[in-house]
Amino acid sequence: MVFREVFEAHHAEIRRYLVNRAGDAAVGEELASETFARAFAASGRFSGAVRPWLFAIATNVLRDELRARRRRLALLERLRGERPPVVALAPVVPGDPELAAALATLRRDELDVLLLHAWAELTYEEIAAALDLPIGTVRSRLSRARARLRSLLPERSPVR
Amino acid sequence: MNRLREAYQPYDEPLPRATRERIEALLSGPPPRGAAPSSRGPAALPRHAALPRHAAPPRHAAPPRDAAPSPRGPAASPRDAASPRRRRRRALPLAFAAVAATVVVVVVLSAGGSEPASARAACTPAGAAAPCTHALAQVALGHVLPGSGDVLYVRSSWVVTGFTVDASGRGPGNRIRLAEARTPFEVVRRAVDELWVAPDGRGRVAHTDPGPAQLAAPADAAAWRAAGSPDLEALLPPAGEGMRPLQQDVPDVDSVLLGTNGLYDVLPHDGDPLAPIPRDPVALAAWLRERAFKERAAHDRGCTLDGAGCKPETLREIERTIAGDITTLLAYPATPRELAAPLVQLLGEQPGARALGLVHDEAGRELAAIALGDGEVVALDPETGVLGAVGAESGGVVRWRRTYAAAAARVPAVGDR
Repeated sequence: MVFREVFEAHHAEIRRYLVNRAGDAAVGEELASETFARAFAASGRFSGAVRPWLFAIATNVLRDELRARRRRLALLERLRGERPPVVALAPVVPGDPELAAALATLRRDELDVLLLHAWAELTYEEIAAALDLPIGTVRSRLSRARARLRSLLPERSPVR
Repeated sequence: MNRLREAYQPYDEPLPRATRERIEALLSGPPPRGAAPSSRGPAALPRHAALPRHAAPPRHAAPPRDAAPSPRGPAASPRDAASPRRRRRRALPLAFAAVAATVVVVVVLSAGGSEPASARAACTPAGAAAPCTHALAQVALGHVLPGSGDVLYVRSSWVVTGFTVDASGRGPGNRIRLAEARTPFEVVRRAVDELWVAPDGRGRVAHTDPGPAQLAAPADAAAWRAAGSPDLEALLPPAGEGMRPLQQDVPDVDSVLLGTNGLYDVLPHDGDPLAPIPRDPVALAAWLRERAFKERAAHDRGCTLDGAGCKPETLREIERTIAGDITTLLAYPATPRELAAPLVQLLGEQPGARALGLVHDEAGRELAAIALGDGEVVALDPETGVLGAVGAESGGVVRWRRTYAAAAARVPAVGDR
């Protein structure tokens, strides 16, 4: 695998995905860099479909960032005795606060599957392979996420 | 297209130079071995393990407030440490500065010359805040932390938990119902924090067991006596599990100290975190305003940096964020005096700021208090210009939430006092 070609072919869509997922361009940029750094580190032993693999790494990078923020917040709270408002990583949905609020109610694993399907346009099989899940789990998580959104957004169909 | 797909925003910004350089650095070398992910690659690699960060300038030890260049070392210049985003931020159009200049009274802060002895006289009368904070800024510029060594040590006291005791038990905040308490009074528990910051950014945080229940302020004593002098310990619930004594080594103490309101997120993490922050009062005001604007005004369409078109609640959020950043930076033990001084000056130029005169904190120290528009009170030592305490004013009574710098010094090593 020539990693430069991988980068040129996929960086833009990975970056777009992470900017949208993080809700912050600067954060998304940095997470995209981190994604390709990890991919590069692992590229020597990787074989398979590149695109779902990159989205899988991006998903993990995003999760790690969330964990790091939570840890920092917990420590900050203990040290300072206050819970400051921090910039949460949440999908950016400009002009549709109802949808943003509905997405915020989803479990993280459901949100990952939903947005890998709706935004990254991965197939069920690709999501299953990327996240190392049985395809039935992917279907059930997607189903739960869709049902949840439909119940919260009854007037319009949220997902295909 | 469905609703969710429609929400997926395009993102076609040019690749930032730092990212390009980072990727080029990656691509120019061989792939590291032994770091491969599992079969599908989503990998348990250590965070940043393979990321060739910008060459991190060594965080040389340097005195925090008595050295001109930087508390984190001469290598951490703004150009070295800041990302392109930060550089763009500093390259604000002059218009920003012009806007700031309309609301900031510029005072030339000069080091050297006759050393100001005290800001006590300027801060004694209650009233306009600017004369007091300008005098405090001059004092702060001459302040040198006591002690020697490369590690900063700060001990402070803070309110772990606080309750308002009144006859109804209803209302905002933590309430305790006591029929005899016809006039409300406030009861708190305090704990002591200790903090060490090493030159490389690592540190240690520790806090003690919360102390006994006590009245929040001397002004609460009369209402407490009128309620029959109830046993405060019996009134207050015990401190929660999360408030047990703590001692924890932290790899990046800046994330704790500068984390408030997302400030940490906009500062560089691989050098002097304060490097991008201007030292000139006008430029500093513009920097703080722009950061607060980006943090708080993103969802207020039509809201511009000069405040035009902003909803009142957005403007209040911006003002609160600026004041919060000033307080955070003044509380940060490695803030150099060249930055502390203009921060103190700007404190008095915030909307609604007014001087409360000299007051006493709960430790009995006499401090110069500045009330901000939203009721927050920030108090500084008139002899040093150092942040002394923060609290809130209500009904003419100031109740302290945290007393900073009960001891602040340079020490040889983490754990030393």
